[in-house]
Amino acid sequence: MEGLGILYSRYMDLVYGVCLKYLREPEDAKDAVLAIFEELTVKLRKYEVSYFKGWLYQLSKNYCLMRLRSKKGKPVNIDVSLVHLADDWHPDGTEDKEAAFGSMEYCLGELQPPQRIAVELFYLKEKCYKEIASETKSDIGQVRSFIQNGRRKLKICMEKHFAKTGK
Amino acid sequence: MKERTTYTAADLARYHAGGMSPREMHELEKAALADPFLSDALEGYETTPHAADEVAELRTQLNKRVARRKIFSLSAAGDQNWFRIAAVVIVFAGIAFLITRTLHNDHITSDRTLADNKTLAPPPVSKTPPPTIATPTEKPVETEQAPQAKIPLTTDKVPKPAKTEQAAQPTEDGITRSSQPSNAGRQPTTPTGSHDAAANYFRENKGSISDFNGQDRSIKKEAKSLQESNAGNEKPEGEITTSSAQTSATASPADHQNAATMPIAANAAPSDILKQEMKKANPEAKDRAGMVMQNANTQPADSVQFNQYLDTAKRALPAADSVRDNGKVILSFTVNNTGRPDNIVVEKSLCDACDRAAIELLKKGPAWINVAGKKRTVTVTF
Repeated sequence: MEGLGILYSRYMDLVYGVCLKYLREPEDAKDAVLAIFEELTVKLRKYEVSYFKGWLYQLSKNYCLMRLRSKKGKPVNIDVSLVHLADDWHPDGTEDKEAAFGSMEYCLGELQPPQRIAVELFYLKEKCYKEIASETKSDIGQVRSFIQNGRRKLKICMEKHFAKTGK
Repeated sequence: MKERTTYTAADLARYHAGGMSPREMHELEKAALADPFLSDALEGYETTPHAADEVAELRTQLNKRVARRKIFSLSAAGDQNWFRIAAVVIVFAGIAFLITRTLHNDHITSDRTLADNKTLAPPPVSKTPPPTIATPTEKPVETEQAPQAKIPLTTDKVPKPAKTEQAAQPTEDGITRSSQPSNAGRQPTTPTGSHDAAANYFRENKGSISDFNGQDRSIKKEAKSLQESNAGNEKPEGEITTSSAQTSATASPADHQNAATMPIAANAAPSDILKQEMKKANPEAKDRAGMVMQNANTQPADSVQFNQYLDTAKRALPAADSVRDNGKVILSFTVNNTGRPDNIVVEKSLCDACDRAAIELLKKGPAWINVAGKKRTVTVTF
């Protein structure tokens, strides 16, 4: 129990942030953080967890969504644009890098201009959201959304391009 | 440049407060794009300006909870397998105890039933001295369930029977002594002394002996001879008839059922007449009988009839000859409200048949003086 407390404490900042995101109220979020810890002690006995951080994230997110559902009695609408899909595609290897760059260049041109500009500024110019927002005269939320969506589309496009060219 | 892998609430709060450089912010955002957990948390901290304090408070609460759980887990041993095993063992032991107890009760019940059947068997040929039950004092208890001792039997009044096959012999007290052969395959014998009396008592008290071995023991004949012997004889015999009618009138349904199958019982003497006759009994007769009932706490209502009944029933046991004079059966029991022995337990066993017989003898014997809650012990010597 003590070890679990230490482990949970390491990620508690993130859990609290997630709970704040979904529940909005700090008090609700605090209750949720402690309740998730209780749930954790039970579920860890049932399931074998190989990647604790990812598992904890899903547990926290599901708990908050369930709590919102029980509280409001209706389904929660989640902004799809804010949903970030974890990357499982990481092209590596020197041989593929040339092809990857070529594909990326091609796919960047396929993105919508706001997304392409945001992605280029973020990844190529290494600017933060605030700077991008300032440059593009948009708010930070939009910049984040452009980058996340542009990143996702870029990934899909590159996978297709890879499959098409065979490289 | 080495990227940071962990961000605290303070970092995230600093990000939202604008306390980070553009470079740090970019690194954090980049990390957040690769880590949805961090990304959501980053968004969440946007809603509160006091994130660091709130997280510190949460950390304190968590530590308290962990400490509390630590104590609980040590005391409850919830994670210990031995604790679960012990709990399961305790549960199974309890179930086993209940099952054993139930089976034990069933066994006693079946023993009683078997003993009922065995004691109804006709008295076998026996040349050994019949056992008797000797009690210090005899104080009859007259209850409806008390055995209907029809004929008062005293050893000194019982004529010495001969091994004859006479149908019935009126004795000097007017009681018919029947020495009918029990069955074709078994040589009939007539018990001597109290044995004869016991046989009569047994027949009269238990009714049709032939019910058990499927042969007609000429109960009706005995009844007839008994009536004949009663007809012009002594006063007690007349009282027997009268009182038996009274007894029948007040008898329980079970008694009526017995009476229907036991013609002799209808002419039996009541217990008060028997009691008078018992007073005439020679104490030495009990000793001659050979069976000793030791009872320190209580006295049976009518030990003589009980002794003789025991005697007869014991001789009916197939294994009786082999075990006779070789040991004793000790029974403990309590007496219920009607004076009947209850909760009979074999304290010392001799043989299965003997145990059953002893239980049945006790069970079918005369009523006992009831002293509530007192455990009694009797020893039946074979």
